Amino acid sequence: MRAIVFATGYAPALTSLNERHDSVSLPLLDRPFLQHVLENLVDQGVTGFDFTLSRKPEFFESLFGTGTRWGSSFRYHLARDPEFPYRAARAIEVYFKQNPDEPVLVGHGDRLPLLRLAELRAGAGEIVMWYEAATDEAPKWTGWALVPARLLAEFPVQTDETGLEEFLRNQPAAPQLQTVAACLDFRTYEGILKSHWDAVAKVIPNLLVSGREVEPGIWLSRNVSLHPTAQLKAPVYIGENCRIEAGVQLGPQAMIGQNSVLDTHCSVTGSAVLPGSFVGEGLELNEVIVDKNRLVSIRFGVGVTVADDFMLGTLAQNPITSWLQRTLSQLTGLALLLLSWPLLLLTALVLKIVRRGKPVWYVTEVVKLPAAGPELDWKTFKLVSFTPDRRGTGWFSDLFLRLLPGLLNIAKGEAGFVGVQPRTKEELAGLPTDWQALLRQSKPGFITDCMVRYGNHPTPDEQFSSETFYAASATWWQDLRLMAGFVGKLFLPSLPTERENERVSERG
Amino acid sequence: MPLTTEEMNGVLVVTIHEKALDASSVKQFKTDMTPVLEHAKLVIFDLSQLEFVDSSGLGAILSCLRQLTGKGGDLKLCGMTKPVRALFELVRMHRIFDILNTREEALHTIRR
Repeated sequence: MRAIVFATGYAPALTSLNERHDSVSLPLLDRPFLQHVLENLVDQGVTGFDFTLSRKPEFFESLFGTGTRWGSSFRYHLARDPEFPYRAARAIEVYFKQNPDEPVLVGHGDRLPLLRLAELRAGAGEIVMWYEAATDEAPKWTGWALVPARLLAEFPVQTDETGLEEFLRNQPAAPQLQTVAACLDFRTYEGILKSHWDAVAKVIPNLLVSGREVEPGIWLSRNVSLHPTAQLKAPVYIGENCRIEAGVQLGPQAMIGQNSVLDTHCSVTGSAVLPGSFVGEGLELNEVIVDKNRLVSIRFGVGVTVADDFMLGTLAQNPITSWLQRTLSQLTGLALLLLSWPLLLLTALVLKIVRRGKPVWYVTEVVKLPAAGPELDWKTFKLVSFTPDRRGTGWFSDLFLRLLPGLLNIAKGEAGFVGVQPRTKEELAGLPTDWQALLRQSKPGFITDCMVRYGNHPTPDEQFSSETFYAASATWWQDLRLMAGFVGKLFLPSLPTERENERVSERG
Repeated sequence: MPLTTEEMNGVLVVTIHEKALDASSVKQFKTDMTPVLEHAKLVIFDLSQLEFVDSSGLGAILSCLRQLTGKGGDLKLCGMTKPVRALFELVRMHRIFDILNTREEALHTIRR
């Protein structure tokens, strides 16, 4: 049997954690939730998967590969809108043309119900839908169903999960409704925590977890440094390479993700600490999810970024190459500033005379990149320039009016020679989400890919493609090429940009 | 730039017979695409032979999409090689374009 898994990561209730994770890539104990879904289904005899991804698809494509590791075959599909992923089902239907009545398992990758596929009895072409056991509310659909392949072509396109449920329930042949005993659900903060305690309690049997249960409900992974005075109350899970210091109290209900450090006398109860986090001395965590320096309260459903590293922080190290690159850029900026300060003063003097009363300096508060967290947490710096235009004004004026005074920012390490156009908080916040997310991982600079390729008046599409391309794939080699391109324009201004090339050919 | 076009059930499938769509080839690509985009509304780009795309290439494909959607048409991309697909995913272009694995998938899903 083949499974179609919609794993777009759409979870509006997880906004506070959305920056680094989505509902399918968030870890359940030691691995991304979607991997548990996949492994559980492989264990039940599913032999092929069609994953529909949207947010960071490259992460799962590289993690899962072709599926040979699980003796399975994987295909990946991309959904433009994570909220409406069902259009992909129409493309997948192509592969079932020969056998349109073949039963296909369809489900959502942010839930793992206790399906017992081996015990399933369904007639040819019958639809089966799995529901959670009713408590005080109406039974909730788990998001999983078995459908004949031909139905994929009719899946509603512009609809959410409720629409899909309605579509399946309203088929001419009434579906068989089954109740599951348990369902792990990663769409809400409460669901994430409950899924952890259910997983540790083995509510879903055969869930693959690294580490071993040293006492009932106490799980330790390899290479954990646990101080003898630390107290553990089940259920507790501690991931690989964690360090638990003296006097720490863990549990009941504590999940510590791999590569985390818990400093002395802190306590974690009813909470999950995601991988690579640091919990400071004496901190008491109760009903929260900690993701590095981000703290999400389950009771209030809100997240805050903790600025003080001694309380909560990240243990991820910056690669040495990026540190070297930054330092080299700073030193070069400083050296050039020392060499060119007479020219800087002379330019200021000339502008003072030419501009007659108009400002010579322009100082703009722009966002320091990379910028993590919500807009409120973005740090800014003062960008110094002889012109209010931050996009570029012309090759020589760029050199004298932007790059020369910008050496101050480069020497201070606030910007690089090459980067993306510096933007104010308002400008950055006003960009489309994906564009903004990519730029926030980049660095600001005075020479941009966009300016070298398209000159100073790019169209929005040109600016989008060149900025996102630079943000996603910048290397020191690319920076050097762009610098060479800029210098080339200074000394060989006859070299046309791509835009100028097009204008010439249009005229021709 | 070597391009071939095939009409299949009212959909124009354009195959790009080039290894790179970058600053050096994008001008020719745009020139060659101009007459194609003037007459077609539903277009599929088969990118199975393309191994490298840079920001100019991305911009050029984006501009084709804008032109087609501007006149009520549609553009789908299919058959991407791994490096090209990885780039499209990294720059989040899959949130703008419909990217399909094969030509069959693209033909099956394009709205007519």
